This record gives sequence, C-alpha cells and structure tokens, in this order.
Amino acid sequence: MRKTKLQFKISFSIFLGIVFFFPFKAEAAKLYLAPVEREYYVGNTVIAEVRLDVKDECVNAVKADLSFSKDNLEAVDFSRGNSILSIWVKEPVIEQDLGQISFIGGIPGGFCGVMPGDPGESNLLGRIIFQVRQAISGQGKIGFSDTSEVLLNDGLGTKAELKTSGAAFNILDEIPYQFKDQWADELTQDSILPEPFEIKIYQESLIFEGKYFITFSTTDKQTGLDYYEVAELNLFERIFKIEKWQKGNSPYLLNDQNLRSLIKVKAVDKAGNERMATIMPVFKPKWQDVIWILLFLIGLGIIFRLIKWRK
Amino acid sequence: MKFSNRLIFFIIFVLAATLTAAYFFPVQGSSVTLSAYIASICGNGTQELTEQCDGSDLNGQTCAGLGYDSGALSCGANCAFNASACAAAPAPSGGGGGGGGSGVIYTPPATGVTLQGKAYPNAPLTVLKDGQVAAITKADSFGDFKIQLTTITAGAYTFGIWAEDKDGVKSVTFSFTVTVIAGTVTTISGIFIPPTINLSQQNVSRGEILDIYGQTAPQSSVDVHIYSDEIVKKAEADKNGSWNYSLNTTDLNEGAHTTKAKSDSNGLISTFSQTLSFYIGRGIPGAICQWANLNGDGRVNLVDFSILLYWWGRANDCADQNKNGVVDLADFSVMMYYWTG
Repeated sequence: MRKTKLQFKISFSIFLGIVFFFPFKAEAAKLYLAPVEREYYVGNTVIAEVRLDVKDECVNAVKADLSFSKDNLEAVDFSRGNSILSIWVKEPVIEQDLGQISFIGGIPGGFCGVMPGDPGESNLLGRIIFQVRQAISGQGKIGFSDTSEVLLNDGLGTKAELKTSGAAFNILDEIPYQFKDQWADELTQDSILPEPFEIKIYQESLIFEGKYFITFSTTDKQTGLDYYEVAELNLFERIFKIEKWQKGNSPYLLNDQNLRSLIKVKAVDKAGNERMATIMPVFKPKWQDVIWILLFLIGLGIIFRLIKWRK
Repeated sequence: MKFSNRLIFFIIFVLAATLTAAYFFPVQGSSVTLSAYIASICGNGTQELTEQCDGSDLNGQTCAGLGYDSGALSCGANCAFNASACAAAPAPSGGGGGGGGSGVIYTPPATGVTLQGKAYPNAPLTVLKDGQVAAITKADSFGDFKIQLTTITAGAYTFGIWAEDKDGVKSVTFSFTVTVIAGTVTTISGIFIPPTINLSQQNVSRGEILDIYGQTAPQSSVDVHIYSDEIVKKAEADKNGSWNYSLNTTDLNEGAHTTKAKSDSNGLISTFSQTLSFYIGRGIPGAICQWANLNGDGRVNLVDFSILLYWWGRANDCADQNKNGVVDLADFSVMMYYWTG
C-alpha cells in the first residue's frame, strides 16, 4: 500500500487535516463527462467537462477519443483551461464531419486523484463547448470510444483498467427564455495572460537531423491556451520592428540555423490574451565569420588610406 | 601623421574594435551548454523573463488583471508592478452617507503555495509546477524543507518535488494535484520524498552479497522489497539518512529480479523509490536510453519529449522505452514517470 500523510491548509491556519492514501493496487480509472443537464434547447451552449477519476492508483497519460451526435451538436471549441494535463502529445482535434474529438496528454509525476480537502475539483482534462443545433433526433449524445486509454504512473507504461461514462440529453425546439452563453461570458471576462514560460534552444542528433530547434510550454488557467506563434527576427527586422509571426508548436525547428535572429514566442489563450517569451541565441563564431571580420577591417583600413591619400 | 588623421584612425579603430567585440560577444544572453537565454535587464524598456514589467512594457498586465477594478498600472524602478494607482470599486455606501470612496487603494491578498516536508539532509530539491521547474532549493541538515511559491495565479496545478541524494542519485518525483484559490496561501505539509535507491552491482553470481543502498530522512526505517517472489527486508537510516541492506543472494533463484524501497519516518510513510533491476547468474545487456533520458543529459524534460514526439508512431531504439517496436503512449507514460523538468 502506498500511504502518505498529507496535511492541507488554506491560509490563515484553517486546518483541514487530511490523511492521504496512495495504494498501489491497480483499480479502474474512469473518464467521465460532467455536468450535463437532462434537457437543452436549440441554440443552447453545452459545456461538457471531460474529467478523470482514479481509485487507489496513480496515472500519468491519457488518450481520450470522444464521439458525439454530429447532427444535433456542433463542437465549437475545446478549452484546456485548468486542465491537469500539462504536456500534450496531441492537442485537441475536433472533427465535426465525423463527430469526433480526440486528444493525448500527460501529467509529469502522475495524478493520484483529487486530494481530500482540495478546494477545487482538480481532475479536469478539458472542456468541450458544443452548440445545440436543430433537433433532428431529439437527443444529443457524447461518449468515449473504446480506443480511449489511461496509463498507470508505474514507469512501465501499463494500461489502467478503464471505465467511461458519457452523457445523453434531450433537445427541445422551443426556447422558453433568453439564455446566457456561458462560454462567451468566460471569454469576455478572461483578462489574465497565460502562465510565464521560457524558450530553450537545443541541438540533438536524434531529431531534425541535428539542426537547432526550440522548446517551450505553458498553460492558461482560465479559458485555456489556444495557440503559439513564433517569430525569428534578424537584425534588419529588429531595427525596423518588423515582426512576421507564424503559428508553431514545440519542438519548433528554427529557420535561422546560424542563430543570428532574436526568437520570440507568443502564447495566446482562447480570449486572445498573449504572453510573450524571447531569447537571443548566444552567437558562436565560426571560422568563416573570422574571415568576414578581417575583410571588414581591411576595408576600413583601405577607406582610411584613401582619405589620407586625398588629403 | 597629422593630428586629424590620427583622430580619424583612432575613431575607425575604436569603431571596428567595438563592432568586432559586439559581433563575437553580444551583451545579451549567456551560454548554458546547448541552450541560451536572454538575461533580464531592468531598465531597457523590455519586459524579460524574471521581470514583471520594464518601463512602459507591462507585458499586457492591467489593474483589472491584478484583481483591481480601475486605475492605471505602472512599473516600478525595480521592474515590479506598481499598483498604487490601481483602485478597488468604492465600497457600497450605507444610506448615502459614504462618499469619498474614490482613490481607495486596494491591496489584493497574496496567492501562493507553501510546500513543507521531509527529504534528505542538505539534499538539493527541484520543484515542478505543471511539469516545469518552478524552484530549486535545498533541504536543511535534518532533511526538512519549506518552499514558498509566490506569483502564482489561481487554478489547478500539479506540483512535483524530487531530490538528489549525496551521491547524485535522483529520487522519484513526488507529485500531487491541487486547486489554488485566488487570495489564499495554500499550505501542503507532510510531504515525504521517497528514498533513493542504488545497487553495488547489476549482475551478481548466486551466493554473492548485493548491497542495496540509498538515502532518506535521518533515522528512518526503510522497507526493502525484493521481487519476483516478494521478500521484504528492513534497513535503518543513520543520522545522515544513509541506509544500506546487504542482500545474501543464496536464497534467490538465478534470473532477473527487481527491488524498490520505501521509508517510514515516525509514522510518515513515503511512496516507493524507483524500481531497479539486477540479475543473478548470466549478465544482461545494459538498457538503452534508460529512464526516458533520451538525450543522455541526466534530465527528463521537454527536449526528451521533443525526441519522443519526433519518433511518435515510428520505430526508434532509444525512444521506444518498452521495446514494443513503436514509439507510442506507453513510452510517453514512462517519460511522465521519470520526468525531472
């Protein structure tokens, strides 16, 4: 049995006192959706929270494949805000035509369940934002496919026994009142930037044929991270403040393999808040550079001689 | 040579020397093996990594973003936010008698996390926040530590802590997930870093003594588990936290075995250490890219993850940690287990 005693306190010495258990015996992990009401009206926004419960075990990798009734529901967005997944192998992909959503992510060090006394429900993987469309069948369904997997945090890549629980609800035609769009409200209210992060430059023989690449990673605790943009600015672009941004992900293969450009990475959340990180690579001179410097100095010498000769 | 010529020559020389020096030794950035970073320069008008702001560059932050209702945020000389011109909304006036609510300076309570627990005496500790290194500190001479993380926004975080013992062996990361509430300091105590474990040799002849050793909190009792038929042996840590168990391999069958350990310090029980393999009898080949350290730098972080992603769905001896012929979710799981940030 994996047993650790954790005491948990929220400011001002409010003592909750918790005994925290981490047994090693393999039990089921559960992927489920919450909260989903019984009825929605056409035009409603449905926010389906994808959550993970573990019992008596720790897990560290999740592959979630979801399917939904594509005729009744339109998946308009996926929010990674407040997700316990911090490393994403596959960012959430919405395929409306197929009625499918999938993602793969991980928790470094593992997730051993919600701690008793935790003031929040810290088991959220992500939130899918659906728009209820015309009521063709009168019922909306969201569920997990059999290809979903959760892996134990055991250093061996062992699959956890997995249970899943989807959601089904009725869709009604009549709109009885002017409803609020909760997701739109959240986007309006989110003024907090993604978490600070840093860029690192690497060169590894195992990938990108040994070329230079950068790594970066951050999270956003509110509406969630949307995308990254990368800019490599040469001297000219830096002087004239020309910034050409392009979407990219970590690892990002650098265009400027001579490492002369200032590198900027922008993390943008769903509400459009931007957090920027920059790095100026350390210039490592090559023998060709020495020749250029010498030519430059010789040129200066010639100019000086010419000035002297004219006088 | 005339004075004016000398002056021109001197100016050109200084210019050339400066350009040459600037070309070879840029003032920004300093080298860290294969990576590099721009040093924060307070006062250059650009907010950099360790600064909250710099001059007019507030990094997009506003009074509202800091929890105030109105006002203009500015940047202090120390490149930290100056919220003195930010204000909370005037307090609701009771029966019209209030008045004078404008200009009320509101200082929002700090949001932070305090982590307290036990590791090994003077052990270097690395704290991870959502997989990224958030702090590097040291346990005291008794192995106790108290780490305070400030400048944190509200939300759910997975924190991880790992330690390095006196021999440089890393512990397993102890991790937990918790929601941090705005305006509160969340204290988590009772953390007990699992012991480190090491072997005197990986291959032994039957009957030879195999030393299983490591470090934990001083005076702890250590349970050493040996598999495949589970045997549990006891070891006691000394005042430095060092523990050792000399295993007589006479009673074990020839073949592969594993071992791991956990500690008990006055009733506080740790999670298990890493699992190590040893072999009695014929030798076994050394593992390739052991413990998901794909680039061999002793750390498991975003670089190793990049390598894993690069080979995702393909065969690669190094990234394929479970040797099933393809780099997949199981290999990613192994990497998450050994993650050091």
